[in-house]
Amino acid sequence: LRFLFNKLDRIKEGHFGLLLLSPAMLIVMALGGFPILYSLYLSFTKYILSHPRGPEFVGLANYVALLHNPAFLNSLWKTAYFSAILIIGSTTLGLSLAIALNRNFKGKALYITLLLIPWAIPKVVNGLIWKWIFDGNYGILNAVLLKLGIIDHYIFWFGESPIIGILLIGLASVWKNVPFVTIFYLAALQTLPHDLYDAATVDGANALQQFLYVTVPQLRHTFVIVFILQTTWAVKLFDLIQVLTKGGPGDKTMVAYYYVYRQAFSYLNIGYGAAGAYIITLIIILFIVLYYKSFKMGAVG
Amino acid sequence: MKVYSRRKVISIFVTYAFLGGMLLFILSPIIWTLITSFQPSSNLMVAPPRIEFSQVNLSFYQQLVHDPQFRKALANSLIVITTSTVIGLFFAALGAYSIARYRFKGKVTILFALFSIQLAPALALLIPLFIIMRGFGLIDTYPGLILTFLLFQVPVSIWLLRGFFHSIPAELYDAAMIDGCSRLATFFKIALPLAAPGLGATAIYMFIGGWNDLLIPLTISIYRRTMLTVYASSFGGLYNINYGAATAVAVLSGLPTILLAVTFRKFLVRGLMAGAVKG
Repeated sequence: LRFLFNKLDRIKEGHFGLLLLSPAMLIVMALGGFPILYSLYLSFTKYILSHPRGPEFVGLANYVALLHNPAFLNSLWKTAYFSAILIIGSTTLGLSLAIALNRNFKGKALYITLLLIPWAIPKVVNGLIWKWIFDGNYGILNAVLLKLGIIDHYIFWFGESPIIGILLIGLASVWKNVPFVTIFYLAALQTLPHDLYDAATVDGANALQQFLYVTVPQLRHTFVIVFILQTTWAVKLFDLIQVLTKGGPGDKTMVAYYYVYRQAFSYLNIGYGAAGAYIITLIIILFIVLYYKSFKMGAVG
Repeated sequence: MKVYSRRKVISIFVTYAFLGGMLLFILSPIIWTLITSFQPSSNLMVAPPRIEFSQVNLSFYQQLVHDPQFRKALANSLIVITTSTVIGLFFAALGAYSIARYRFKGKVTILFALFSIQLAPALALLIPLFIIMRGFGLIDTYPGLILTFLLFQVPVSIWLLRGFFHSIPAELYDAAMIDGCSRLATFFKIALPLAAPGLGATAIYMFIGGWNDLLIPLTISIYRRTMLTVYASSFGGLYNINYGAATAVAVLSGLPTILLAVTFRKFLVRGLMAGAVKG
């Protein structure tokens, strides 16, 4: 063993560094890099696992079919709608909560600890909790709204319309995401220099003006990161759908990620699923670039 | 006593009202789930559900604990996630240390590759992985699951740990080398102990992230190696109304990660900020 250690000390520093990285890189390359290329190939094939034939090259046919498939396009719109709910909801509540928490008060540590609970639980549990609340026959949401006189009979929410169904799934998702977003913004707020606010106060800025002209510009970088994270999470909406609705009833709550999952793993239509996954990946990349660009432009302006 | 202006009083009142309202929003779904999981079925299958303190009981928990499927799923989750966390942490520590300490060609490319895996939608990787693992007979096996979890856990962990290794002054390593420590000994005896808090925080992240994941076990194992999230998700779906069991399984599946998060709160909040990129 000593011999090995000595030998390792004699190779070049850079080579030793690469050696240390090799287990991690082996995993990333073999299980990440290779599959992603393999699935690019698969996305150009007709490959249905339940059929005895192997992959059969069809060019861009899967992509063309997907982009002409109303079910898939519809699911993309629902994903966009869900993303808007998640981003607007968790940014508004998370940022407000971070600002409210950005002071010292008794019980602050306990408050933040309790806030961690929705973040820590599995999304499956998140789904089970809200499924019970939203239930059409026994759900407490129905009971409360009935008592308040907002509805006059119990409603099977997910059967109403995609707008209401996705809105409720968005509510459950905002509930889970607010803690992370809050803690993230809180961390950023704590790094802001005090003298900026002092200067603004001297200049006679009220709380709203301070927020708009001091806080928001200073948090630009944080906004970009949070938006990127929230968008990727929103596009990858899966667990909640699986637990709450499985995309139904009908296709009312069928979002793009779940649609692609179903194509690949329920219908075993691997080529089609791989193409769908690629389209979703491209959409995510597009949004990251867009956010990044707008961040740069904001920095110039 | 301090005298506040009227505006200040209103602003303080609004702030605390908002804090209280948000706490209610965050906690009430959890409390509702917890309370109803101790009620008999007959109190839940009415509108609105009834809560009777005299009828508090553990029947749903007893059913679960005696369900062999639940026990198997719990054991599978513990085995797979613990193994992948331990192995992944070691690989990630080696990699992060290397990135923080050594210079070599292609480092930027490697960092980019790690970052891409983090942002890539898991499904884009799981579809081809399913086909490949099927070819190797790894579907529904522990090694197949552990390898897949490693793929998703290692890149994030390298990002998290890199910061911790960076914050250790390089002079400490140099001093150890001068004292005759070999390179590997420097890593094991100097770097690892100094980065212990970071390793702990990262391990907790890996465990929580792995434990909570549904898509990986749902695609890589279905029948023989059902994991807890997959088992719990079987209580979902539009028409399943076994809410007593659903709430009990929700409580039991959420408990381990809640306990971890609450116990190691300080670590996590710090790490949450450092590891902002976690997807």
